[in-house]
Amino acid sequence: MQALRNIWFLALATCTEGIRHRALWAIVCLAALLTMANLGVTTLYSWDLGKVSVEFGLSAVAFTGLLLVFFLGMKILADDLERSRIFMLLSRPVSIWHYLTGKFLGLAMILLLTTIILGLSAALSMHYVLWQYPAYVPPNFSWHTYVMALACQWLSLVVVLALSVLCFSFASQLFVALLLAVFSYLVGQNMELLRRVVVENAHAGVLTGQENLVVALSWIFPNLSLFDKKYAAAYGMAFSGQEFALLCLYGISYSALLIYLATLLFKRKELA
Amino acid sequence: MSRRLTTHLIIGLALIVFYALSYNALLQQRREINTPGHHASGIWNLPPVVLFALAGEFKGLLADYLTLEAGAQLGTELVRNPEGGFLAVKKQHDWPGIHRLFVASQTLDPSFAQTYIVAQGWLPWEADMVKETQNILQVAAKNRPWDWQPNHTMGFNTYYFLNQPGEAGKLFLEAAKTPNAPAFLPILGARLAQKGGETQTAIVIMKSMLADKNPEEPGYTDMLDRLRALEGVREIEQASGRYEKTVGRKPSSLTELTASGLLTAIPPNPYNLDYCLDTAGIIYFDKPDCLNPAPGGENQ
Repeated sequence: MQALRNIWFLALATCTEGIRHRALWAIVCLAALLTMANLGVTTLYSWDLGKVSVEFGLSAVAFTGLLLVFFLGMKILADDLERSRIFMLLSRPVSIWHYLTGKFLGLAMILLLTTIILGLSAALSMHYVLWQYPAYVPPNFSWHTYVMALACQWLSLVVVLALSVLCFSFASQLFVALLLAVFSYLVGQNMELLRRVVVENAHAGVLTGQENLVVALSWIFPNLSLFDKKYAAAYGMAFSGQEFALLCLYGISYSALLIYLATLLFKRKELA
Repeated sequence: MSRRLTTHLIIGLALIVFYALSYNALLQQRREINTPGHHASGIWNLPPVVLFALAGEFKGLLADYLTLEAGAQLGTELVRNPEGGFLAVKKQHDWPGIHRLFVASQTLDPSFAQTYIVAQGWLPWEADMVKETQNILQVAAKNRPWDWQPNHTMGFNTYYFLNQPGEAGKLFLEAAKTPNAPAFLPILGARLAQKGGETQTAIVIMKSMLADKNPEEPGYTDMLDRLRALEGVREIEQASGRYEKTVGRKPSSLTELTASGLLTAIPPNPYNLDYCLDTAGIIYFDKPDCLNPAPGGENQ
């Protein structure tokens, strides 16, 4: 019970710290601009305006979320070390796993808040475009799919956040952690592509015959492309509730595993 | 003015002049090589797998950008007139490069309508790239099952550029299967398929389409009439084939065919016109004077 209280307290404190951070508001302003740009960009096209609008809106959410994870999230974690606040926390009955889990949940809450704000503002601009150009609304477009795609986007960001926390837990410097996290994100985005190229293609260059290695890598790195539902939302292609539930389970289980690993590695980290 | 300030001013001025000269030289050089070549390089030249990997989760957005880039490379260009104002000049297009742009855009987002519509608007007409356009349209047709236009456009190209009415008819009929396809498509498709010697295919497709349609739907009677006309053509075609086997040549007229006893009677034509057999052995249901074609083309 005490553990849960500690985690909750840390999560709330991290979330509050994030909201007070100037970087967050700068990113939110950028996102608002991107959302407004949606209205202008869409009119550059003559067909499939609805698709362009939905894709642009969801991409704005993804882009802003990534900025938040890589810059704000890692900065908040690094600040605790640089300003020695972590010692104050760890000297209390707060263990490292409470600390990392609390921080992770707090940052995930910031991401959720941002996704909701951006998702709503993107939805408003989309609604305007779809209302203005009804002939270009994708035939099976549904707001339900849009909300599910938005939720998948958030889950994807949470997984990237867990990756960043893991990188932070063992990297000696913030820059190295950031580099590793960005690299893992890029690999994660292309894991499905790599797996398909090697497993389903007899001419995969240097990777020919390395199916087992690629399959092993695909279990180690996150398969982030599975969370990418922008295409489905943009063309009104419904995806099943079962797939959504499985994605949620995958995202949660993978993040939990990463945070656990991060806890183990953080214990060995030279804090002073 | 102090000596130090003068030195700073001289150094600053020298740097500004150096910057202005080098930038101006660069602009001048770009103006001189203002050929399609300066568009030839770009992310769209990368192999599809690399492009896919680079785009990450922003594939749709990159596809949107590439289509805009294609649009910017097409059309005319405005250049400043030395006497004031602007002049519209025709660009020299790098068609292989523009084609690669479309392919790259479609690799990233195979369902995007803007890609195949703009490609169709330019490539077959200006670049003589019919085969390439057909490939783009084929990808669009596969990935846009709700859209009748890719198959319809492919059918148009097959008829207009490749002069293959039979194949064109099949594509029109394929397009007609799409929900909300316009009612004229099956009629036109059947007409072209029959013209290209694909009467049996046209009948089968028309029958399968009619089976899914409600007789109350608009266009149902027109389709039924076209089916009956095609069935009449097929009956004559089969008799003509038997005649050729027996006599060793094609019949010269329908009267000759009926007189041979191989066709007991001319089948009814729902359009209340006479069937016509031309010198090549093609049977028409809507052109009673096919032996003396009137100027002005054919009717539908």
